[in-house]
Amino acid sequence: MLFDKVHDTQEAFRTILHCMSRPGTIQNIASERNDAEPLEHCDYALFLSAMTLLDAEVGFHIIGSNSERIGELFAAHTLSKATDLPKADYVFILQDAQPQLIREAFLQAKKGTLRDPQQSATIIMETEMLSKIPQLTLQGPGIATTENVHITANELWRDERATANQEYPLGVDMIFIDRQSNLMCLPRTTMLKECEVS
Amino acid sequence: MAYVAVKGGTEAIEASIQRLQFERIQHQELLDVKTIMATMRGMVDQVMSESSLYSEFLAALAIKQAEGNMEEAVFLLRAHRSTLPRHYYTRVVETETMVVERRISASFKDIPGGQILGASYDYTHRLMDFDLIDESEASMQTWLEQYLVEEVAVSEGTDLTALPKVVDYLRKEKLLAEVSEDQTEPIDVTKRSLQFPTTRGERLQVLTRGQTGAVTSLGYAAIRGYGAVHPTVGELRVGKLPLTIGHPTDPSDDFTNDYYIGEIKVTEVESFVPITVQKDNHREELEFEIGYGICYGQNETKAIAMSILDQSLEFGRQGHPTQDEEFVLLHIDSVESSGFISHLKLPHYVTFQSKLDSMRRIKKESGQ
Repeated sequence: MLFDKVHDTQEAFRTILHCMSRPGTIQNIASERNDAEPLEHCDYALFLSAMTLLDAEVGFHIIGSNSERIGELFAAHTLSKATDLPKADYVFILQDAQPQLIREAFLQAKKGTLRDPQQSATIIMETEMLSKIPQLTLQGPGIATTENVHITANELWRDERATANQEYPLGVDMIFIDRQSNLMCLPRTTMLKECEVS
Repeated sequence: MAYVAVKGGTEAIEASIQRLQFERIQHQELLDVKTIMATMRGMVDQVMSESSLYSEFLAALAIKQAEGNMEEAVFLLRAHRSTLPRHYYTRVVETETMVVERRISASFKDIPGGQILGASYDYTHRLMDFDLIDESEASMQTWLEQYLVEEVAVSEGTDLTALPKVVDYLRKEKLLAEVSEDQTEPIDVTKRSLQFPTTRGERLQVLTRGQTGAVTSLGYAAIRGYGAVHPTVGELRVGKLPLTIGHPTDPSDDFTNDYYIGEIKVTEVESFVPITVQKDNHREELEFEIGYGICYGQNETKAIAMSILDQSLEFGRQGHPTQDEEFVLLHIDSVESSGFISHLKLPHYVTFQSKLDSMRRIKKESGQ
């Protein structure tokens, strides 16, 4: 697979940064890479985001049926170490993760401390599809008025995220990645509401 | 408005940078990085030590670029260091494993393994050697060949890789207070800025990357009366330490899978500082405390001064400036101190104008 460790991850980083500062924005991180050979165990977009975010200074945790294989892949390429949930800086929740384990992930992930709220985990969640069809209304810093998005995934995460983020500034930030390599972010400051049916 | 001054002068700045390049090469003499590495040992060692980056090649390059200006070379190398990814952490190194090149003790004449003088300026007359003006390649070669033959002839079987520590001798005699090993992970001062009070690990890191001159001066002040240290050099070692890393992806952390990645030259000092302690039975007893100093390369003055400051900060409680960790640690860093002093050259037009304004007003109001 053709992969430029420096430039591809730089570009992905800019995209993630942009999406994190403009919650609700959906951008593609691998559009030019659609011709790339598929990886054996995970989507290219997930791999790319891991390559961008992980290095030897941080730890990660993967939840999903193939977590061990993918963990080895990430570790081999980034020198980052797989750790227990409460220590992980990045938590990857794959699409086939068990609901009970998703709950555990939000419960145990680092929320930071009042003095250092930034020492919290970022949860990267694999989803089926991201789109702008109104399902959820987002509000908060980085959004002029409101943004509407549709996240096709197990809806369990919404309650768990609300619980994890209830004591601001403590909480977790989230990145969603779908099957078409689209990416969207929900920092802990973004408030979610179901769209009103008109 | 305040930004006008900062934004302006682009062309003048570019011309200044051109001028700097001109100053470096105007005499049409080129200095090879290889030559700096081979002949400027003291300078390369200092730059590596103050930059916290062990690379003789990059230090030599920084020296070339900075035209031998130490603070600039350290600034360059520190800046470069901050861009490097950190892939591995080495295993903890025990300095008993050092391949010793020089090892002396000022406390005991007969130390196990003997005093090894190695290479040092200490025993030379400080007279200018005018022969060096005409040093030739041929004379260098002859000297080298002869020296190497003689050196091999006199070298004999002391194992230089397993010399016992002088401090162990005092420990055995129970002249040193018992200390338990502290295995907590040290805080990395290059990743988290200092928070007071500091841990010893943080202090040692700041001291070892301190500016040689500043560390030496403060160490001297601590002995002269602005501190309360009267040290004896228990052991001073210069030599190479082997470094290994664990297998990066092996979760079992098995030592037998370790990789050897190279060696670094360091100077290590353990100073003995006598102190009086009150015992339970109200008797005063003399005990030794240890000051520890270590730095990249061969820089004995800095390492000794560091050991004095370490002891001073660790045990000092009498209110001397050299026992005050904020005073010592916040001022001995080359980039921080030279950076702050240099910033005074930056445009302060607006703040200065406002001071001038109020001065003029006060003078006017008082009718002068």
